[in-house]
Amino acid sequence: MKLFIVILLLSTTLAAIDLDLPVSAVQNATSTLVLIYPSPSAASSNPACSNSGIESSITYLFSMEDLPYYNLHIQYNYNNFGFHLGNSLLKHPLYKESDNMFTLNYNYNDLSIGSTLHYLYNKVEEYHEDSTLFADIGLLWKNGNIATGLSIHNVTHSSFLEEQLPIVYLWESCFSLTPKSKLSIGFEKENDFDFTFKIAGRYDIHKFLTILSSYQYGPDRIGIGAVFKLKDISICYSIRTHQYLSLNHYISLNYAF
Amino acid sequence: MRFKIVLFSLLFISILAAQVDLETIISQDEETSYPTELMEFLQNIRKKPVNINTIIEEDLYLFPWLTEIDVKKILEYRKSHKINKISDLRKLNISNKTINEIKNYITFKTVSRYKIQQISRAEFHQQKQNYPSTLKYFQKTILDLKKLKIGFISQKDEGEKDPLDFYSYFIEYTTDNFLKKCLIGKYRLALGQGILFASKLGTSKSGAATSTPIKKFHPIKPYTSSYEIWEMEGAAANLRFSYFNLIPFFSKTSLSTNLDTLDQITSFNESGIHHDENKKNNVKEMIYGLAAKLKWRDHSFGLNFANLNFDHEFSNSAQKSEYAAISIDFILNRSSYPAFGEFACTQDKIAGVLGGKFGENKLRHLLLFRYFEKDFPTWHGNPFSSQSRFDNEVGLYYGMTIIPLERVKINCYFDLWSFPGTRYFEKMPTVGSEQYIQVERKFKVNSLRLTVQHKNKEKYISLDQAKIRDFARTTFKIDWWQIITNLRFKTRCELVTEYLAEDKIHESGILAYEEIRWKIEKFTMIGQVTVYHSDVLHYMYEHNVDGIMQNSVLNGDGIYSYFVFKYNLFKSMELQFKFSDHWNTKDKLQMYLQVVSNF
Repeated sequence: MKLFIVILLLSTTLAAIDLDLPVSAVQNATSTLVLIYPSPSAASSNPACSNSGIESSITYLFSMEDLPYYNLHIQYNYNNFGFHLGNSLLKHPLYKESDNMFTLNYNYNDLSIGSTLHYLYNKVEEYHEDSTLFADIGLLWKNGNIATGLSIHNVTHSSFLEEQLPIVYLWESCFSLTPKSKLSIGFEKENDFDFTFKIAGRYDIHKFLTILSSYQYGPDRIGIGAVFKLKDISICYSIRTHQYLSLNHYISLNYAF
Repeated sequence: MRFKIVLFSLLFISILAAQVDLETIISQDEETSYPTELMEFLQNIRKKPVNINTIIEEDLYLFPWLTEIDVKKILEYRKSHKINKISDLRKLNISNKTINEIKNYITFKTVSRYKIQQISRAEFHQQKQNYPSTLKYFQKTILDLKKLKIGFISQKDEGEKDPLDFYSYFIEYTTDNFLKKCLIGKYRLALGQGILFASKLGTSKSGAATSTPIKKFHPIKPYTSSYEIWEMEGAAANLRFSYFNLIPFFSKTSLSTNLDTLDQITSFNESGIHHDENKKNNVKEMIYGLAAKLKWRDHSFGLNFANLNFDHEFSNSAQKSEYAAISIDFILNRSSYPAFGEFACTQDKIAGVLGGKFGENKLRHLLLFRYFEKDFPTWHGNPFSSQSRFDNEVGLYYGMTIIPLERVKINCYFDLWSFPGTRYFEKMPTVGSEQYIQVERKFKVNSLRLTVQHKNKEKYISLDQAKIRDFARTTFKIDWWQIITNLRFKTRCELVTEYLAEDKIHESGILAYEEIRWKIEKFTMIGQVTVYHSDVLHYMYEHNVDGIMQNSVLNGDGIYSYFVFKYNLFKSMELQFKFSDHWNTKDKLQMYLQVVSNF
């Protein structure tokens, strides 16, 4: 199984293969729907999201100890502007991929817009080494109990190793059904692939504990997570299924400021 | 033919019918054609409604429309008040929708505990008219004498000579002291989440996405099903010591099996058809065990032990003819089921179910994980799983019930599973998934329901095919219920597609039916005409005389119709008659005649 993953990684970049890697434990639990539970890493999915704080996450992809995946995201808001810095790093003795990103977002009343610039670096030992720049844009609109977001990844149509990186369209709507319950639904469309449908739920059992759960269709995944909060600090642990590979366990530490 | 055309035209003059929610809950199982325990329970109490003030807690949990929170409210209220009318239930914040659903099953008056229930039924299936003994008979007599219940059930299928080919009998004694219940005769045992023992007839998944997967049953119950297998025969008791309940059980029974040349069991005969007397009851099974239950505050814990012994070996050497099994089960906080589960093991196999429920009325979630090792004994169990033989499965189920608006209810579930070991056809591990979304909109009187169900399975199409095929089946259904005075109409349009991705084979079918239910004083008529044009199989729930569950399977081109007539001869006696036929296929006529008495 490890060999299978490594072969996949060697053949292309993460963004282009069906591994669908979330950048935090919360996104692992919500199938990368980001409006349902605010976290600093949300800007990596929708650049219009501006949830201030610092978030660090780690997972061993599909429970394989030689495939660690690290994430660090910082979001700082000043007046109507927000700034986000993030790094995602996948490290394997033969394979290394780093995605460094900078996001600028602007909030005006209920409307937010943002853009992220990525610097993607990829190295496969004794095979290739390459890097590229690409950008995402996002829009977020809040209206009472409903929040809707739309983002487009790789609007610059950038290429990597002479192949174009995927262009991904993401749409999400989040409904606050009660003060304790939220429901989010979304679609993801990658060029040359079918629509991916997602649904996620959130329930605040207690002010210290939130349960997150989600389902994604195409490919099929179920994510479950629990967020433990203590004032501004929260820890999230989540799991997500893969029909052929082992569970993806994720843990994140988040400090909101 | 003219008669059929007239009826067909009459039915299509207007549009549709009832029992919306009951059908939602009991009609999902595509394989079962026998009434489940839930269906039997609801049919019984519909005839003789139960007093909401005296019904026991376990029975209240059986009402599929009551949430665990509703049950807790009723139990709390009963401690200090008497529930005298519907408005008392409204005071408890039980929704109008729920009250409308349960009102036909409950009463506020004292109900006589002395009852006699008698059902006699004869069935004729034209396809089996050449059998030596053409008719199928069923009879059930249950005498309820307050604390003592005595029952006798018998059945003879077409072609069977013995009028008592299958029979069940029981004496049940219930008290308020330490001997809570004692049962002698044929019974069924159900423990925890049903891994070791459960009623075999029951669905795991349905339109009630956040309640059906949780198994809730009485531990011991008389065997009143007409399904001729899986019963236990002997004695069982429920002894109560304060918070503790002890359930000792013993059973020695015979099973009908198929044996190979070495006299080893290859499979069980689950059809109940015994044309060959030599294959009838040819294997003896003995079971003894003890279950201990602790109910503490709102939680319950169980420890269950059983020893099973067959007097023949199995041809599959991985299946033992004698084994001991142990399981632990728990429900934390019964009033909302936030966590429940059961873990079981035999000498060398393990199995487990772990689930949790959370959320509020407007958005409820249910997550359920199951793991069943390959060749774990499945004979008496029926836990949540994607198939009836549940071993060799790992899966995760996620169900949601969403009430976004007052009259709108959305139920959806997503189930992912894999078969990690090889199976008879599949020589490699395979995976499957199912998605189900049902949106129901209630209007003042009428209601509309949209259902989308998609199943995807990896499977071999035949043994000589080396490749695993991706098989997808998608069903779209639109149901419309309409009530006009004492006429209730139901219209369904269904589209089914099946797709084999590997070979790009695409097949589809459509089905539409009109059902009408007409009730006037002592007379009830249910009729349905179905038109179908299809390359694939359509599974359709149909109404029947009480005590029969029927899921018709239709494919090809044709028209199918059935009519059920019920007439109350006296206050406590009802005559029921049904006939069904495929219009352009010969020898498919079926007729049922039943007398139901409740004194």
